[in-house]
Amino acid sequence: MKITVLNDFSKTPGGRLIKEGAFSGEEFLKKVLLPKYQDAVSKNEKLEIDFDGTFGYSPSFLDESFGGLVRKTKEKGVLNNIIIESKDDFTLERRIKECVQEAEKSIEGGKDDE
Amino acid sequence: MGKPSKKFWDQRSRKLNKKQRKKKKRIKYRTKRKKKNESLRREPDVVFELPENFSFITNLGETASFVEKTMNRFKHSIPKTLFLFDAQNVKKTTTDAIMYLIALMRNYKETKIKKYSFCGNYPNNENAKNVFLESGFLKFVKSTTHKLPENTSKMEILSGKNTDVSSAGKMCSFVANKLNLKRVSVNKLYEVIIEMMSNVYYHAYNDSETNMVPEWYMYAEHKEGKVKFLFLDTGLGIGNTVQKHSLYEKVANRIGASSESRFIMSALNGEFRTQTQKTNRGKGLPFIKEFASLDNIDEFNIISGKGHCIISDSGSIKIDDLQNNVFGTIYSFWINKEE
Repeated sequence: MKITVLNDFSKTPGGRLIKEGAFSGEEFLKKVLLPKYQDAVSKNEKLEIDFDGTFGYSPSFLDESFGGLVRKTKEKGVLNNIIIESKDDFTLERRIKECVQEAEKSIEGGKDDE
Repeated sequence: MGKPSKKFWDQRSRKLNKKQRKKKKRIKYRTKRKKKNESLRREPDVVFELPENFSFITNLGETASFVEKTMNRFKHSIPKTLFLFDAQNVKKTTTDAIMYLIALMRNYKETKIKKYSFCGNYPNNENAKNVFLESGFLKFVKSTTHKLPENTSKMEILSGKNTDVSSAGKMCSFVANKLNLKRVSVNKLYEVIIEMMSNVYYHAYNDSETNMVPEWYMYAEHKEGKVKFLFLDTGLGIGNTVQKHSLYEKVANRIGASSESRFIMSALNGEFRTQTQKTNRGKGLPFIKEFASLDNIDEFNIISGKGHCIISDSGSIKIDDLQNNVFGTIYSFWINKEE
């Protein structure tokens, strides 16, 4: 299963939460990432996400979307079901992994960061 | 042909009378308007004389002092005070200070409650006046001065209260266009702008402590083959909003004994300091520091409260405490074309 942020969401990803402005990480999580992820997992497929073509992804956006995915699903190893495609920014995969790892630590510790 | 009849003279007389009545009505209306305007054009109650070199970048101490005095005067003035910003003697200015001037007039919280009003004048110095006019200052004030033709090497001041992806995109497109870069080369700039806007929305606002309504202002200018970028927010300042680690720091900060520059530096270095006390937060400033350390970013300055930090290419941070308090945070840096 494949999604492109440019076509399925926005060319201009925003900040963290919906109340702060358009195309936030929270909006991406609720409208695109979470439903597609759950759909892919239920079909035993990997979710391929193409990040190219947009203006970029702020740390708050990535944390709320991918960290948020971990916090919502309460699962460790979500990245085992996701393929990250990013030719525009080679640091993106590392940054997403960091968000996911931090979120996994927080669910491990029983902290609820929401 | 005989003499005109009485009917002709009567009609002519009626027409002339009608014209005269309309003329008298116009004169009466204009006189009434003039008197009304004169009554509105009262003498200012308080005059702030801007420094000759009105710029945070080139004259930080004096400009910061001016700003702090202005804010203190706002706090202690009576309702319906008319303030005049006298810029006649300004010989040199930069847009960071102009943005701050706009913020002082627009964002001081009690302006509406106390019904303050503001007026001002432009510098007599032509170059300094043009900096005002070409920055987009006229968008924020009522002025009889004619707008200059657009200077395409300058992106007029943009402002907002939320995280505005459209403005961030516009700014990045401007930079890419001026430096002849592919749009993907300005992705990091976009990400930093979004992060700065987010900081205004979340961390710069504490109802009881701030005097200013939080808003951001942004500006860019193409000059000598590179782009100057400015971002201002009117929040509490980084030093006040970041989380203090120890009780000592809390106490020291309360009595004003701590160094605000050191607090900013520790936030930039990613020590866990976030007001929200959530483990997944506090990444914004370290990300800004990472951006500032890129090869094509020069002279990255952060002025916030009484703190001033300069981030070099290597990522090292030079600090310099100010005598006066600059409410909010100013970021300024140059963007070069990548080699």
